[in-house]
Parts: sequence; C-alpha cells; structure tokens
Amino acid sequence: MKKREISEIKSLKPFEFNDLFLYAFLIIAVLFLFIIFVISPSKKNAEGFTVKKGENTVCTFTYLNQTLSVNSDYINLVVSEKTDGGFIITVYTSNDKSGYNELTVDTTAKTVKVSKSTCSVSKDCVYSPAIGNDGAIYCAPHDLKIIPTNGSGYVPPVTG
Amino acid sequence: MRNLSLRKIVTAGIFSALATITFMLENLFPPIILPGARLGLSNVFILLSVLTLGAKFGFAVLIVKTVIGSLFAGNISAVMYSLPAGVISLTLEVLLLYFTKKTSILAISVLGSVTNITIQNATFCLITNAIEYICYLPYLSLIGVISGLAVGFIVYLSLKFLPLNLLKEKVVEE
Repeated sequence: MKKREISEIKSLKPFEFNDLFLYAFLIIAVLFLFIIFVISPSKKNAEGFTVKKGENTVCTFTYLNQTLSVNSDYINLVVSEKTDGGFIITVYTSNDKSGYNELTVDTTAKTVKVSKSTCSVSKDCVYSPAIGNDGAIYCAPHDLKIIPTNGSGYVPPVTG
Repeated sequence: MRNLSLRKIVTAGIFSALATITFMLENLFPPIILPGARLGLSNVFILLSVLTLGAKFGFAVLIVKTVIGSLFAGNISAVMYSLPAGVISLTLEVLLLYFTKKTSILAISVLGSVTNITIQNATFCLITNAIEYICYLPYLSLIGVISGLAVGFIVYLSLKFLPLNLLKEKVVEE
C-alpha cells in the first residue's frame, strides 16, 4: 500500500473545495432531522409520566389529580414527598436502599426531572432537561426510564 | 522495522492513555445541554493516531478509550452504544481521509462527529427500547457539528505545530 508522507500530513489545510459538498450534505441532513422530529410531530399535552425499570412500570404520576400510582412489586422502593411546587419522588434501586434516583415533579409547569442520582460519574440523567410533553429521561446504570404519558386512552391511576 | 513497530505501539499506548484520561475528565463535567452530549475531545487522540500511526492503531485507541473509559466512569453499559457508533464513524473518517484528496480534516471530523452522535443515539434507542430519546437527535446532530469543528481544529493545529521529528516516519497507510 502507498504511504502518505509526513510533509503531506503537515500540509493539510483547514478548508478544501470538497468540504462544501460535505457541509451542504450535513446542513440538509440536520434540517431533515429537525423537520421529522421537531417541526412535524403534533404536540399533545402530557397528562403525567411513567417511571419504568426495564419493561416493568414502577410508578405513574398524573399532574391533574396529583396522584402517584405505584406498582405493587415496587411499593417498598418508591417514596414520595410533597413540596411547595410539587413532589419529590425517590425511586430506590434495591431493598437495601443504597442506590436511588430522586425525581422532582413541578405540578405547575407539568414537568419532571431527575434531581439526584447515585448512578455513574457522568450523571447524564441528572443533567437531562426536565421533560414535559415530549422527551424522556433514561438512567442507563439503573435501567430507569421516565416517559411522559399523553394522548387519549390514558386512564388516570388511583392514589397509591 | 522492529523499532518502528515498537515505536508505533508505544505511541499508540500513549495516545490511548491520553484519550482515556480526556474521556474521563470530560465525564466529570456536565453535558452540553442534552444528556450524553460532550465535545468528545478524546477523539483528538484517535484522529491523531489515524493520521500519524495508521488506521489500525486508530481503531485500537478507540476501543481502549471506549472500554476502559466507560469502565472507570462507572457506566460500562455505555460500551454497547458508544463502541458501534465509534467504529462506524471512524471507518467513515478513515475512508474519507484515504480516498478523498481534497477534503480537509475539519470537514472529516465534523462528518465523523455527527455520524457518531447520530448512530449512538439510534443504537441507544434500540438497545434500551427508549424510542422517546430519538426526539433529541436533531439537537444532538447540531452539537455534533460544533464538537466536530472543535476536534478537527485541534487536530489541525496539533499536526501543524507538532515538531517533525515526532512524526518522522512515513506513517499513514493509504
């Protein structure tokens, strides 16, 4: 195989003519993504959110009734506390309560975010923006997913 | 010849260590606006490896950085989606680097970064069944453009100002 000389590598420029095609392709691709995922989707108001661990539902919260419904399998792992602007829901990862994700629910703005977590160093879930009508928060180390529940056919859960 | 191989292996080891440390340090800081969105400055060392040592060393540095970095960051599950994304985007970058003469390192880096973040997001959605995350894709691709420009520019400056005796072998396979 032919090898490139160091002088050739050193002479690389910050801009070449072919770059225009690449940048044009990227602009079109990014615009396409915005049209598909941001502009087109019809927005529905979130009625609440669901916390899932793997495929199992841990608990569901509704903003209207301000009720939290907890799956009976996780009843010892979910603790909720009422605050001024909403609720703080703590979801523990195991019965020894060593690991947890703390969710802060704003019932006025109808949003939820992860405020504390004992997951990885990067704590991506904590830095995820608060979710309202769309988006999701996923904590990979704890396999915990928070998704908005919206649309018709949603049955508000009973108070747990 | 033996000395050259040894020299390349040692340099690749140094690049791997630097990439892993950068990756871990970056993990200590909050992401840019969205979860998982970072400048990806560790990719500077991967691109430098490709350019100065050759493609196979670049892939070796990528694998070491992803596996060891994720392990130390306490998020080994990240390997499942960041490794395939890294391998595919680096393959694309290597192909562009080797087969297109008139493409700058900045543009290649931008394309690689956008591809990486897009595939990472898509793989993440598939593996974790969190399809809702796909709505972040347009914003992540924009962050990918910024990160690619930053990485590309640092690589460009590094190559420009690194002393020639550090790179005195004929190194990049084409």
